[in-house]
Amino acid sequence: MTVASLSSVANVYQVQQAAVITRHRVDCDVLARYCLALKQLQDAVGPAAQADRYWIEFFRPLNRLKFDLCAAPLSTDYKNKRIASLLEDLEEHLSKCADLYPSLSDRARALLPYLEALTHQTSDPLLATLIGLTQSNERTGWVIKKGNLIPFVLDALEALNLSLSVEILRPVQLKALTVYDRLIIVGSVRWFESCLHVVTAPRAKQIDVVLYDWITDSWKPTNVFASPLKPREQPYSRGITLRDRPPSLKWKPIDAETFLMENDTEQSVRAALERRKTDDIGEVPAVCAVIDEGRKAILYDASDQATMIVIDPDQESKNRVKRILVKELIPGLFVLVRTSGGGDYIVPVADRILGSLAPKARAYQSDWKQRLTRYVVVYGTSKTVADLCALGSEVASEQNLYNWMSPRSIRTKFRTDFLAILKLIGLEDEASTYWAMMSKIHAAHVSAGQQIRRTLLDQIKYLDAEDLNTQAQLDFRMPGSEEAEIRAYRVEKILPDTIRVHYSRLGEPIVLE
Amino acid sequence: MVDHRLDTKFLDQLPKLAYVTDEGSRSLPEWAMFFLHLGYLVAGVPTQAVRHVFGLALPTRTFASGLIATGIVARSIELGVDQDWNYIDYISSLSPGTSVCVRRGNQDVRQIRGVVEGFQEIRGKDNIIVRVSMREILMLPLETYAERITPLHNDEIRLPKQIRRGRKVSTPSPFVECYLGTELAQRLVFSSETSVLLVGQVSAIKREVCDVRFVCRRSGRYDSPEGVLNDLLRVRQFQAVTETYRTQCLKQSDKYPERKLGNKVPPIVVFDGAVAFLNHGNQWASSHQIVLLDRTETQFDDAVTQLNQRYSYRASDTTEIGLEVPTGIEMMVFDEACS
Repeated sequence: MTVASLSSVANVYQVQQAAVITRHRVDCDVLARYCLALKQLQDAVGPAAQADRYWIEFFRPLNRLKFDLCAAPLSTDYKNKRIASLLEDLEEHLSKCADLYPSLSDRARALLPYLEALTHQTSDPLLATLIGLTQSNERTGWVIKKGNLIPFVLDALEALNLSLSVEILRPVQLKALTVYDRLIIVGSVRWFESCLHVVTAPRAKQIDVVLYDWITDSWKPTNVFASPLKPREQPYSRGITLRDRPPSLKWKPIDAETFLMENDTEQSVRAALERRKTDDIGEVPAVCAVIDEGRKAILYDASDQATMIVIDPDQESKNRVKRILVKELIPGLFVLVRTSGGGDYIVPVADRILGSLAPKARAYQSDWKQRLTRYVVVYGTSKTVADLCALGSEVASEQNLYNWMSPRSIRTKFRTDFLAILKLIGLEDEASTYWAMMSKIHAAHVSAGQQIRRTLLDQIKYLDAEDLNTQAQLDFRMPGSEEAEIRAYRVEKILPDTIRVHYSRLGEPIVLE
Repeated sequence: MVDHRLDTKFLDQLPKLAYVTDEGSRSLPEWAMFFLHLGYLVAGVPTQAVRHVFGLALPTRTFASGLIATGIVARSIELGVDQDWNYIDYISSLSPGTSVCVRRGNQDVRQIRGVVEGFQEIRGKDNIIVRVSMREILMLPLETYAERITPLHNDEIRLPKQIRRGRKVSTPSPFVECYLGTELAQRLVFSSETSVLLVGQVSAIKREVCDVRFVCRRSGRYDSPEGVLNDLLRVRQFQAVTETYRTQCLKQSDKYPERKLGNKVPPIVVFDGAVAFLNHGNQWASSHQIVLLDRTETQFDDAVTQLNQRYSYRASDTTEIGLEVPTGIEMMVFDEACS
């Protein structure tokens, strides 16, 4: 671990005391027309745009494209391929529009030429502005809200073959004490609300906010405390000067808030879940965490007692790997995911501990769960719970039943409940064998959990909080494995509402389109 | 409205510190001096019916708590005359059987471990009786020896059979002597007291106070021997168990701080970061609180909300503290009723 030097902290204070934030407006006719036409169509569709599945699926990729084009200068190749693919999908989607929504069909189709026009664009004014602001003799960073767009920004730069020295940064990287000469933030500051430190704790004296002319941005430095010692008229950041270039009013402004995709993320998660629809039986409320810089989401059991293992960068190195209640999950923590294949990240490690017994033990585990699930499908949860109680189970309930059916659970806590289940599914005679097998798996999982915790601690103990806070993901290799088996993703945000999901999908990353 | 302006003359008399870089020493920047002065200020304010809560929003938390605590410790040492009696009361309250560490001698100071056997009044003066071996007990006047006794609450000791002279105690470092002067430096090294409790990421605090070198000004030049902030802070958790201490440090995730600190109430608590404040902000209801919030922290907004909520239930406002808050730092001060 490195010791922060007092000089580097002094640089941070020096920057904070004299930062100038300048807002620049960029115009682009083609993109403005697309954004405004999309907005007009959404207004025309009305509340159905957020509620009707047909329109949700129609608008989702269009809105995402709108955000991405406004939030980063993307390579022409990537942009054109993406638009071409989108046009193809939209053509198919709109083929049903005339029948379903005849009054809106023409207006929806009218959007397509705007999209096509984007592919004929020969220059990128956003990129040109960023390049124009980047001086060769300064250490400059471009701050991109969505980290997954960074490779396409690099491609765009590479295609121009310029000898430009610039670092493309994710907002989280600006938590470090590194100070730049100039930072250029792409997009409205409103989009950086969850990482507002990019402007409130600036890491460069010169900060440029570059956004398109039609996007609103009303952010200005304000006090955070109710009654700061300095008069309110002089905000804390009196060192931070904001130089605003108001929009030209050539275009009707679009609220930056509408670009944020809270609803869109939730819809994407629901759409992804729909694509692999399972039975309604066994649906549980789940907390949805967005990870991998917005590319994936992961769902966790939202029940009061549900727990999970996380890495907390703000803790001491010895306490960073910890078990928390799912309801305590917050952005900034790292959640653990298996790198390949689905399912629980503990399973492969536990299987290695089980050795040659693993396939047989897992077959037993899978067998009783499948039989129980079949019973539930046929008779329903209420009757199954009642039957289990009648057979001697003391804790049978709908929630516990879902846990028992889940491939993530191994066995019941008490043997009486397990015996009741095996009686119910016709395996009473083999109850002892099944219980012994499950106990072996259980013991292997406990050992695996300890081994994983030790390995994670071992591999992160040399990282200080600053190093961890600037990472979006961390890979871990378990002993005896050649490749990284566990990946820890930083939680970007937690969706405000829980989502009902089949228990088998809990803990499994969902790729968002 | 409360006005806690500092006597600026008093600030002028403070020793000057500089930090050491590869290119030589550099005087402390304005923000670092502010933290030192803030510590001096808070340590001088007694808690009576109200305690003060200082909230600070910073561009980075790094070094803030260490510098504030240095100011607190230095001021507490200066004010030590008043506080000695509290410490005498504390030592007088130790139960027989408590393990203690006693420092004897003036020039050749030695430290020896023993067990409290009891207390006895001789010629109107209270004495503490400490057994240091199977064959030797010490009868020490509390008035002069209390501050040389450190209880070892967590250590059970086995008394030796033979009489022993004890281990030689390290004397104050030349850096500390230069900063505080010989008399105060002796007081710092030979007596224990919790002047301030730091709550935060212990490893980060440790690196900042134990690894970064400072010098202080002597005859107009920064040419004193080098030292680290912990030479002054003497953080109990960073010292050998037999060493005296002036500061305690608690992990922000510690669920049972009372197990570490006992029933002792620190006069001042510094919360180093949002997590520390959110986890422990409701404890130590009669201590002054200094809450350091780093704007880059994930839980910065939650901590600000909680602090603003507490402000809404304040006993009174503090509008002026006599310190110029450096640009880039936002600060709020208010008073709460002590419970």
